[in-house]
Amino acid sequence: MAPSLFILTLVALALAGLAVLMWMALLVYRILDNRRRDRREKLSDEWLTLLLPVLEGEVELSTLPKPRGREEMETVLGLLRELADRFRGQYREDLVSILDHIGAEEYGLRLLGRHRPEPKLRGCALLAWSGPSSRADERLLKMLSDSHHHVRLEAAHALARRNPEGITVETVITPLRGTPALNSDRTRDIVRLLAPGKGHELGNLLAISRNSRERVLLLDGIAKAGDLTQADVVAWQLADRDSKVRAGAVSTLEKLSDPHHIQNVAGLVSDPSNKVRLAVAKYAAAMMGELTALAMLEQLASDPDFDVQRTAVYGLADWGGPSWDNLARTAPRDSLLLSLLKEASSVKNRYLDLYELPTV
Amino acid sequence: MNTLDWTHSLWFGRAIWICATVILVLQTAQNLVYLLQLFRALPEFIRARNRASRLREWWLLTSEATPPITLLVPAYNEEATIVESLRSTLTLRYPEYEIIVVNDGSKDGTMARLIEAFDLQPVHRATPGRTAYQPIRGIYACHALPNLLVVDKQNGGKADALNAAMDLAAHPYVCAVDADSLLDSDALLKAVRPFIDAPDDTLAVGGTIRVVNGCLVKSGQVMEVHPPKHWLELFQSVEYLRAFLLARMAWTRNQAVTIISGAFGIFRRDVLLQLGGYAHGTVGEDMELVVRLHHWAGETDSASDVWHVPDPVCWTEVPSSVKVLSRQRTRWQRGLCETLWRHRQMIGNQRYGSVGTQALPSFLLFDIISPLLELLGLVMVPLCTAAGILSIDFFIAYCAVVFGFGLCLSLGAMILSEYSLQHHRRVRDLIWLGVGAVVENFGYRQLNSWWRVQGIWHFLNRKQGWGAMPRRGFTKVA
Repeated sequence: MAPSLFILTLVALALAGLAVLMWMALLVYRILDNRRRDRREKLSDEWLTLLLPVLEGEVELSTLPKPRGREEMETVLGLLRELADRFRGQYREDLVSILDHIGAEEYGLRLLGRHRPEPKLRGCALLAWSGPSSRADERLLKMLSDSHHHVRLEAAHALARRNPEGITVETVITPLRGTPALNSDRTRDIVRLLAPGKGHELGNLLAISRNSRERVLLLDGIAKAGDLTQADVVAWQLADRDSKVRAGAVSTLEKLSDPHHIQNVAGLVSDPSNKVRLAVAKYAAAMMGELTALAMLEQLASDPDFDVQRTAVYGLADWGGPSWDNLARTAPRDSLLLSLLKEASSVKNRYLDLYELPTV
Repeated sequence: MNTLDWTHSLWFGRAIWICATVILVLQTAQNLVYLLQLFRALPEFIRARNRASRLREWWLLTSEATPPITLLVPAYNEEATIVESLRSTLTLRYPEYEIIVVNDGSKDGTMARLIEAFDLQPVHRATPGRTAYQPIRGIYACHALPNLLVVDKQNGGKADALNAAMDLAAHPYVCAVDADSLLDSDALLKAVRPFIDAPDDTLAVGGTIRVVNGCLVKSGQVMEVHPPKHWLELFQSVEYLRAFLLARMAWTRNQAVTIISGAFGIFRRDVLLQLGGYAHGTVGEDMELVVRLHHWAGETDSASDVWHVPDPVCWTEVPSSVKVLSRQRTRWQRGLCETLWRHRQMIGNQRYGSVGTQALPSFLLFDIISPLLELLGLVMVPLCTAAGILSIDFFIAYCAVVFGFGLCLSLGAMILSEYSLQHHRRVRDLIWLGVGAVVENFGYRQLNSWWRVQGIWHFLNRKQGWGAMPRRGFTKVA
């Protein structure tokens, strides 16, 4: 046999042999893993019988034993998460007390001390869930400077959920700047969790921010904080070069129910971005039938973008009156608008006077 | 001159040698590339295994950052599975989603079954016609389920039905789901992660498609995962791991995913509407759409991240007869040819990144040219060896490459996915799956090459149509 053919045959057969060996190894691994799984299921059943009476208040928390070893701790944590998931926050306080009792915080802190990012991520997620502790807060603050941006993001989220005394939005957001983590929509969640009561700080940060993504997040935060005193700072953003910031500013003014900057918002009715015009339509629809808002909706009802048009028509259907009647009169010229009117009148239960109109 | 004398001439011997060597080299190269893919997919699988922590997905359920999604469900003659499939879709764990089912002019009782099962009432909805589709006959809603909309339209094919649903969708992301598939309850929650991590850059995300045949299904949920008992279904089960899951995981590494299965994929709605939705006149509309997304991104210098996430699973019924399977596979191959032909200017073009320089050329080489040569080799090498034109050594080397590498790849893919995703818990299931991985190399893979060649032939003859795919229903599949 030629050397090249011989080597080729040998390599192919060796690879096939290796694959068969790996298959055997997988079988052995699965046997061992199934044993571990059975053990975990048994532990889980035992713990369920211990946890339910505690959650129901039939037994004192102090009587609950502590998990022995990592495997048991992981089993109990999984079980608690499942209970939290199933009862949707019903036993939240009790679950936090149980977590404290079984030493989940200590376990979470140990996970943060590991080298690989995965255990750190799990540690952050666990601490986000456990009760107030300055030690956990300090460690999470340290994790904000971790070399992995995923870990920073998870730590920021954990801190936002815990929302310890004295934490600022800037403390949490600064370590995320310049990393892909800032682009994650998770940061929206973080800012929203921190926002209540921090409208002033958010406004100050918004006024000096140079990053458009950050400005969008801060605007979202102000909307969540519901701080109307920041409406002026928000209104400045209506002239921003980035369409996402402009849309965010309009959306924030809508959520703040701010009628004072309606003229500034009206200037965006012909904005080149669909997203901005959609936000304008939503803002106008939320303005309780204000005259300028109705004029905006009338204009947007013939917008080239269907989503904007639909929002405007629905907005007019909400308020009815002469604007709605005007629209009903002009609708037969535009079959899509007519169809939208029918849809909006059926969804919003708004009477549509179409019988006098010529057939389209 | 004797009629067989020409076979002993020097030029003929040389021609055969050159031809056989080209086939052997190409087969070896193809298998080496697949092996490389196996290694490239390894870190992605390990990442998926590490990510399997329910603690970290939980926040998505309650977060306001989790984007609402519209599920697009095209249905054509699906009366056997539609109600069960829809009931399963309605139990998905996801904060906000709507479902738009499109009855694409079914000839069976699909629409009647839907109306009866969900007490549907006609409603009026405006249709802006942002995508092309056949006329709508009626739109129905369910009073008890405000997130369900059913569209009854004239038949126009799968792409047409998806376009109609997309035109009516209200949410910023759309998820195409086959009516004959079942989604894991956490599938949407897991698949949406790339859109949350990089909302500006991500265009599409695909999940893993797995074979439901053999599994225990109750009330639209896969309760126990078992490999199919039937040989043909078992081979497909292994093939879904080897050819689809593994390759897509490998392509994910260098952002060159070009196929998101029509059975389960999430897309940005604004971009799809900008592109006019799914293309008509192709049977490979799922691949065509993803390649068109890359094409558009390359032309407009936009971000074009397309991800394949392995842990969200969509379960699908695979054909149990050779006749139906051959129809499906020739159709897939025809779809691939049509897509490559439509976007031929992307092949080898650096403007389209790794999709243009790696993914599409490899499809052309290994999925179009290679099956032709493979089939030629499978016929020619043994015949020429028997005729004494080729040495027996060459024949042994050829068999070692075809079966040795093939076995390694099939088992490797099975081992990797089972180690990381742990779908089969029973040891005897793993043994059976392994047997399938070994045996599929002796006949099934070669049959596949034949269907691929047939698909190429159909493409060249401009053959149209899908062919029927009879369904048994999920509870009967097991």
